[in-house]
Amino acid sequence: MWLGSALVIGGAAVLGWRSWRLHEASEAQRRAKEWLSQTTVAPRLEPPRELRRGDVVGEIEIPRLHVSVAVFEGDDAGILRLGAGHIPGTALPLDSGNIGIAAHRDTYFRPLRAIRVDDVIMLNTRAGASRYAVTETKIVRPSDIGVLAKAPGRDLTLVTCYPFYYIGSAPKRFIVHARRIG
Amino acid sequence: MKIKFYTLFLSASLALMGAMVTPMMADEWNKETKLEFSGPVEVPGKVLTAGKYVFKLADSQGDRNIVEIFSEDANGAQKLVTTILAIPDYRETTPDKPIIQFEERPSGSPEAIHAWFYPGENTGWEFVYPKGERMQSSSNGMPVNLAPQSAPAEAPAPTLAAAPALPSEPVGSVTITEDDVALIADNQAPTLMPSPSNDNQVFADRTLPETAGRSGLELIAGLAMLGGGIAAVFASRRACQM
Repeated sequence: MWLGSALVIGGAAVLGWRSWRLHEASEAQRRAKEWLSQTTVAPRLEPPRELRRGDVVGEIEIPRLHVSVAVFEGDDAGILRLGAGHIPGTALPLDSGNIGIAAHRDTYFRPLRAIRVDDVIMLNTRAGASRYAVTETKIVRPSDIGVLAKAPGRDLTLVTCYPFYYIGSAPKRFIVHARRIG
Repeated sequence: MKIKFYTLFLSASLALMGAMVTPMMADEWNKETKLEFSGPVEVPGKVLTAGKYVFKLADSQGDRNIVEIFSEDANGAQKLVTTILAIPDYRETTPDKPIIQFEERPSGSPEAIHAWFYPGENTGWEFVYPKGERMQSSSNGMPVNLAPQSAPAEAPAPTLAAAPALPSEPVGSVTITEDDVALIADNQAPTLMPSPSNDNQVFADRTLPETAGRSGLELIAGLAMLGGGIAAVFASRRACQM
């Protein structure tokens, strides 16, 4: 009897904890998108600023896959729990170079399993929006940091874990490269 | 007397060995790389005219990112042209020959060296050109801040025909020839090649982000515990009734 009660209480606690985390992430997404939708400054006139961990970078949208997620600065577990994370050291939306953005494969970036070449990705920031077209997808090892390198036609790189359905720490990474089209 | 002779012999042998070994050790230590440019090339704060140059690390234990560039005349005499504070760079593949990467520049401007890699090493040195401090060009398109003309001018600019088989290397890189001399044609505009982004030192010791959340696992665990608990409670109640 006591074992059953303990399991019920434990299960309820785990589900309650998970619900709280979902609520927390949802609130963070709402606040970030609200902040992004406020008055924008003239595009490309605002100099790139130093971003601190947790700052709102922008919002990623993939219309065909109905993906819309706020992007925060940082790629640690605490950031990726709240949304997508801008990988430190990669280019920022207003800079030239390869912008690296990561998110969990079991939440925000799960729809990436259906992404195709030429799909449009939007990156909205307070300084303006950029459009990208998917050029390539690939599966790499976690140590293959070269996917974040600058290269011609590689302006945006999305990173998530692979396989998409896998219990535990996924052994590979799913990469989406895109080039800027507007 | 005999001991003195042996000591002298031993000292002479060690000195000879040292003299033979030192140049190789020095190359490894200072990463000395000889290059020959057939046209003007930009490095931070300088434009190098066509000629022979030697890139090497400054003899500093504390900072291994100080690159010294020497011009080399026909007699092999070296003269310091500039000293650059570089940042570590990284390549996925280990080059078996020295590699020079270039940055894109407007047409009419000299090609700018982006990074230099010593053979056998994944890490190299990226040359940083601060925004707003890039080399300004004069109205005729020639850089206003030219490197000393004297030494490099003595080295004849190589012709394109003499260039080695460049296509075997990745696009945008120039492979040093077997005698460690790079040939760069004026009309050959290298494109950017993949290289880690601005903050290379960040990438050097890290992996791609861990993006496998535990939300699914938490959900399964929570539901399993709840289901198991309810089943256990019902089972115990049924046992009590019986």
